[in-house]
Amino acid sequence: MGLYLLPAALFLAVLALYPFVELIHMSVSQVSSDNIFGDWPFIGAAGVQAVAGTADFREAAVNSLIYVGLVVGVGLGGGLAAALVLWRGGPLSGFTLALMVFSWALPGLINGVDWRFLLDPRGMVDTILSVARVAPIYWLVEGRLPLISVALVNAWTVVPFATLVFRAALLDMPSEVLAAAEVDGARPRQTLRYIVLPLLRPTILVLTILSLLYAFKSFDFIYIMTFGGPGTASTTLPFLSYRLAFELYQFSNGAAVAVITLGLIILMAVFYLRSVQREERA
Amino acid sequence: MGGIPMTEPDPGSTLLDRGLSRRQLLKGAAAGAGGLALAGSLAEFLAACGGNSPSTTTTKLDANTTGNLEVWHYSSQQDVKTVQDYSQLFSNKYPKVNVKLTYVEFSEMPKRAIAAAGAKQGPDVFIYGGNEVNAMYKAGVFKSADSYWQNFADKGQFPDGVITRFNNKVYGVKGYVNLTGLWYNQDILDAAGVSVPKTIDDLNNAFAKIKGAGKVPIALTGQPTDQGDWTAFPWLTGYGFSYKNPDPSAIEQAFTLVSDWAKKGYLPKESVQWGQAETFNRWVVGDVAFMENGNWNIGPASRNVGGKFKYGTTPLPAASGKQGIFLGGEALWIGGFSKVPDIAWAYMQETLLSKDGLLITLKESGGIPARHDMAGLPDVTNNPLLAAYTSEVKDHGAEYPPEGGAAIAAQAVIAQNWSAVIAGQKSPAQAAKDASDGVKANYKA
Repeated sequence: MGLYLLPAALFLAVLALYPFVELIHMSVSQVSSDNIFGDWPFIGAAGVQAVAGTADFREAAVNSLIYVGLVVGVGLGGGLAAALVLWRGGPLSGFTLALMVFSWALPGLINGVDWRFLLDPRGMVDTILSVARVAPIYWLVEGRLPLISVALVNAWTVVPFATLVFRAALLDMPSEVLAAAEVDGARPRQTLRYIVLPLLRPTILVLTILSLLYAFKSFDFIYIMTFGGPGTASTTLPFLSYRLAFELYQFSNGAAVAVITLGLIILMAVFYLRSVQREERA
Repeated sequence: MGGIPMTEPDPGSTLLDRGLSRRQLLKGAAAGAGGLALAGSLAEFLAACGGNSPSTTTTKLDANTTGNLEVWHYSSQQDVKTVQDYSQLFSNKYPKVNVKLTYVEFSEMPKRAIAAAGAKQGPDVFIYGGNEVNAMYKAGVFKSADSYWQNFADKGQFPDGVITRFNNKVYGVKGYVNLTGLWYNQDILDAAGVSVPKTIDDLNNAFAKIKGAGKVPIALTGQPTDQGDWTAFPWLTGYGFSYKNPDPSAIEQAFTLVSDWAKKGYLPKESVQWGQAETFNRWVVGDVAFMENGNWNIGPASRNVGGKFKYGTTPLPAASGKQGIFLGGEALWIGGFSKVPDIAWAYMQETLLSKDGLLITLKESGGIPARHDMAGLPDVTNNPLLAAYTSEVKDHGAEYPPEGGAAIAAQAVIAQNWSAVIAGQKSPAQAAKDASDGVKANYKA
């Protein structure tokens, strides 16, 4: 039995473990374009500590928290709402789901470019708002709006996935329990609060962890829509890592940010695995 | 930006290591475009810079030479014809060499080139003019062209400012230079009753009248990228900024200027998302009076503006004579792992180092030839759109990338703060302090 696992283990070792080990190696070494293909002098944790102490890192960490919170909150909230609407099916349900899957399946690059145009002060969103005499909103320019706007666009792509998963869980829900609640006179809101949401708890947990992982490593929307700006207003940890490594060629610093980010993601992954195991045992 | 210190060791030798001052470099660069500077001082300058690389024997190439040559470029669909046209000059002379032009997006080229170098691969020729040449050189992306250059009959035609050396050896040569100037929509200026501005006060007065006339005064690049740094540099240096001396008061004056433009609605705030192409596209619409953009738009402007409005170019107003304007343009480089370096050099010679090749870039995209013997061509001297640029080259031309590419992290700091100021994310004073601190922390040329 163990031998059958060997190809998969080798595959993972080559494509996941080796880059991971190299990343760790880079983060504790001094690496620039000078020696990227040569020897890497060991500097230990000094590089990680130096990066973690910078204002750039702190700003990116705060931005990441806001970004992740919005993507997960809006993505799952929107997904649950959509799943509840589409739960019972109907002529438009399949069509709506197909549309949602389409938007989910579109590459982030295309979604990002589309939304960048839509959110331009001369774009469709502000044009529509102008009908209601709303002054142009600088979605990708002013204050925290660029970070929030990109996060909401990213959340928009999480909604279809969450909808599909929530709807599957809803369809799997024991109908006799729901029927009993109805016979007992429970109102829809009470049914949702006391029956549906508790039964959805495992699904919510799994989706939350998956969305957290997805949001935390999200990069493409920021790259396309704001390039981390204006200034550094929408720079998150993955984007900071990219910028340090591939724009400034400070590979060690980029790797250090990536390692810290990875550490957080691994923590979430462990939490996810343990919750899955608990659900399986239950 | 708080300024993450660079951990990379001091960069290898660059242009500056030869004991030449930045001023000399600027003079050399300025002398480059179209041979506009005095020939005497340039000859003296060139003599001071003469290399001493040993000559080598190269394979004699002729019309029967066969082989494959891969060329990486980043010319988009809009201007790839120029690359195809000058590449044809090489193909005419060496018809049995198969030339493959490979498009690689501009910002991706350094990364892909470095990754390829790690696998000891890459193209035979790079057409690249970005600011990451130092990192690419250190990663082994380029092969020295020094031995070819020393035997190149026309080498005296090129000023030192367009030649990139590492460790005193020639690696890359720009056949033409590009820089930014001020484009204007003559119809808007006429309607608003303003004349072409010569000073910053003129510019501010013109902006007020144009805004009052319901038009957008100016478009420029506010991206937090090297394009933003490119755009900011003339304004910053006009107030006395340099990467070696990032005086916060000089930075603050420039940032205050552009911040006021954004606050007063002279400069659209969404310009923080614009690269140079988007800036051009916005100006072409016809309701923007000015744009800061390059001479490479001469061709696209004639195609896209057509007869929609009358337009012209003028030098960027300067706060002082210290103003520096980056001399860009695409250099040619031999790939570090090219198996046919002789053919790669022949490609360089026949295309962007030749008069015919440079005539193509001049006519099709407005690139100002660096060869001295092309300075007097009617195509250069009689083109009114080029006149503003040629005068800028002479008076304000500055080395690009600055400090031989060693200031890349410092450039990023400037670009981020430029962007933040336009968007209103930071006050000019705060951005100036952050920029000054960041440049000091990151500039180690």
